[in-house]
Amino acid sequence: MSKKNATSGYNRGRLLRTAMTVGMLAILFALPYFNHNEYQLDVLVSAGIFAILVLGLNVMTGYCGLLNLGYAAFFASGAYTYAILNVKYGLSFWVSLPACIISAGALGLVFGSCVLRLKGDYLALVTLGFGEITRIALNNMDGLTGGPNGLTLSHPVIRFANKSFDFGIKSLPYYYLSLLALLVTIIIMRRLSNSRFGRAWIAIKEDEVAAACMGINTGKLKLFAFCIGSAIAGFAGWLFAGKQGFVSPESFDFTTSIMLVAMLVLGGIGSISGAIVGALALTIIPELLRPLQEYRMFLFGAIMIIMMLFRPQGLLGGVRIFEEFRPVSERVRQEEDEVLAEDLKQ
Amino acid sequence: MHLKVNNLHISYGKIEMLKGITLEVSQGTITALVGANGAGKSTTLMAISGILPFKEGSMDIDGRQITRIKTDEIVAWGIVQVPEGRRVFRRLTVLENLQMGAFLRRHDRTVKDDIERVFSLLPILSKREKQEAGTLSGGEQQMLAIGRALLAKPKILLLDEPSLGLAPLVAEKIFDVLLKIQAEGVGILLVEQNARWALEAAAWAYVIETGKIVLEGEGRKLLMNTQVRKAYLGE
Repeated sequence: MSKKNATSGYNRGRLLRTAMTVGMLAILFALPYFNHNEYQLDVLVSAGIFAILVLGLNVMTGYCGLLNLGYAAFFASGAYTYAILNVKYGLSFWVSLPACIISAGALGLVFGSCVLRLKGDYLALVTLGFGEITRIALNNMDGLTGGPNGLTLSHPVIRFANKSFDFGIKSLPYYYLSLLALLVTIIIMRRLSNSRFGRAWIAIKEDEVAAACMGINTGKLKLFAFCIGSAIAGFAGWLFAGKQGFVSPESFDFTTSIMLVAMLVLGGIGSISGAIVGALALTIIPELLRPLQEYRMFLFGAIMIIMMLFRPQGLLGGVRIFEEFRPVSERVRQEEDEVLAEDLKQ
Repeated sequence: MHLKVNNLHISYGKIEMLKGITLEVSQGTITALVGANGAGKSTTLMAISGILPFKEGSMDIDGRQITRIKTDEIVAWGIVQVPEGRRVFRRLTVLENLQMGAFLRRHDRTVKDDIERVFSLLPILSKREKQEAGTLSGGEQQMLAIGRALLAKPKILLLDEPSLGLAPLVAEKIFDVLLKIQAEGVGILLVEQNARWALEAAAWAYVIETGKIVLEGEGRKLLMNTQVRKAYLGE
């Protein structure tokens, strides 16, 4: 009897979730019909691209515990792959997509296989250096990347039969494109996090030695997380370059990498919805604070500090994260054990 | 399965932790490894698991010689370690922890049955099935760590200080469980601070001092040895 109730409760929870997801999607798809504000849509497009990036970073940092302070390098790799293919070889936006994902993924694979031996802070420092080197290289390889002047690209065009639709400079088409791209990324993330890889990543983050004792090839799985995370950054870079119609090294500086980590932490490390909320919040809040002009970064900083003081697990970080900040003391454990011992006596 | 470790050497930098360890473990028996803190007990287990690479020596599984060990291959062979300090995955649930134990058994349909078997061996875990492992008591975590290792279908289980920090009654329960596991045909290499219990249960035991095996023999006979009684039983 009670089991039956439990199942129906579970179904009701699922139904509610599905209903909420469908509702959210409907609102997001219908939004441009109610709000034609070009500037606001543009901010949402940026937020969408950042959300994809944070989801990718979440695979490395959130699931697997590999702090990456140079994530913008992989973002740049995707954007510049498309830019160079477009400018030098005349390849279209759509055709370039696989190349962007593969180039960023391959960069992650090569870089990761060199540095994943390092742990914690050391890894973070090396990734930070890598991010800076990439930006400086882009700045100086004038022949290929246009140096600080960047590269100007053609807009995406969809050709169907003998009609064609140019994405142009309005935000609306990019809004739908990034919404679609975000949806695809979310679906991939959900599948990954529920797979045996997802669980193995969390196990590695929790305790690498224990994970190894269970037969998890920790080296390979960390590299896999790094590679997937980079590939997603490449995907976001492709989208970003297409939307901007222009790439230059300054979009991929250290601040971008740090901002992405901040979004991840603010939203809640290791949670898909957290990553999205974090990206939305940290894209929209600075825009809302614009009337304060140069003081806005003060307020922005204050908001971050208050967040970390009162909700260190992030906006949507569940109880699962919270446990880390409140370790059960050995004394409490022993008391619990005495209770357990009483249980065993009976 | 019969595991033989030959002349194992391990160094941390210039310090030689293991200076030639040789020991044997057979399926279905308990083998104890006793010694003081820092003697190299945990290091030995870590080396057998392939987590610490050794620079000299070899391992012999059923007559097959291995010199370079990868942890995942060792687990696939059936040699599984329960590391010191329990080390459960705190943020995964009890059930998820057990499933992690079966990580290498990808398309194995019997995993579910084995989880049920672990639950019947350690009933407290079934009560906690959906709870996060970090919220369990120390004794429950140790049981979970053992249950998790059992799901890797070990032929030989390497246990590092299973009773450390546990209330005596809970430790006793853990020892009972170990005897049941042994009775099911699993070999156990036991590192244990409770030397009396370990030596009583062990068919064969080794005494390790500063990286070397200094004494070996049947567990009960070592228990009578005056040197052992003085050093490890506090007499």
